[in-house]
Amino acid sequence: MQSILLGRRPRRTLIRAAVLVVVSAVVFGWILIPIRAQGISMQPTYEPGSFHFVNRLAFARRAPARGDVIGIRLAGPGVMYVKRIVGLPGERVRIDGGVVLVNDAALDEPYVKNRNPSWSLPETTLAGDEYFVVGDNRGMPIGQHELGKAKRARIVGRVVF
Amino acid sequence: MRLLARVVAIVLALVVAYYAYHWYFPDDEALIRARLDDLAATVSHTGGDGFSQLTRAAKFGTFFTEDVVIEIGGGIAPIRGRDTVMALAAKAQVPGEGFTIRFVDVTVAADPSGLSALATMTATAQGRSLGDFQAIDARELEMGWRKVEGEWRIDRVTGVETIQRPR
Repeated sequence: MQSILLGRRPRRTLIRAAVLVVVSAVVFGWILIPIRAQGISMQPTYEPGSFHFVNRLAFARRAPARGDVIGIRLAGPGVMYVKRIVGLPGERVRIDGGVVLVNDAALDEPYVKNRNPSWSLPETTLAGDEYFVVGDNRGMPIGQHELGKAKRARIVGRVVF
Repeated sequence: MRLLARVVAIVLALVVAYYAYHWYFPDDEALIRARLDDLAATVSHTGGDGFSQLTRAAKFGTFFTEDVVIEIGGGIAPIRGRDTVMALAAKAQVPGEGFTIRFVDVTVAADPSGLSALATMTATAQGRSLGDFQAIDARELEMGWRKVEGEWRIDRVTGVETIQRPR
């Protein structure tokens, strides 16, 4: 029975199992944070109930970029907003007729499938540590959609998988 | 082997004693966390008639000081006073199948005086509207607590704007 469970070298098997547990705990506890999408603000990119991971090391070597889908923490890591970056620090961003304009130029957003032309937001200038974030579901009422400026310190990482 | 067994028994006894002590003599942080759990259970609604809503509103009021101020933000006017809070709770329109409130990522910092504390948390509200669709909202909150007649009560609730909407 022991040889079936642990193989011919039980000590090596146990060490391998222990290493696997530790590596998994580190990877999925600290680096790749599992998340489950709830809400409709990122449709159709992410459907409610779908599972993904937030890579906390994604911005270790580069700054967040336009188009990145990111996790934004609230009071802690247990609940995050998942939004897409459309504006970078120092830029002027506004929404007019459902179109995002960055420094007065319309942003090309192929990931947006449904656009509500009533979406409108006044222009805002992003500070050195601010990003403009918005969900991909532009068909829902703008009043029910969390969007706007997010501080760099609140960005947990980039959504992968 | 006997020595090892003794050491393990002593360590286990200390661990049990530690948790027993904190169970019977909870600190302020544990008391506030327990109050938050009770608040979430009270506010969560599983449907029901108007009488149960009145009862719930009455209990809801016991969590607040008389001069509580609730400022959630997002264009919603501040709510001042416990009586106002209870009146609004009694009149609140509840979705047919109710909703569930949870407080997540709670951090409590009690003042050394033991008379006030500050708690930060994420409040999530999850309800059922059409079929299996789960409507959800999440808000970051800051709560000021004050000890009144030996009981912790909320004297301030402030919404934290995680994502700042341009106005």
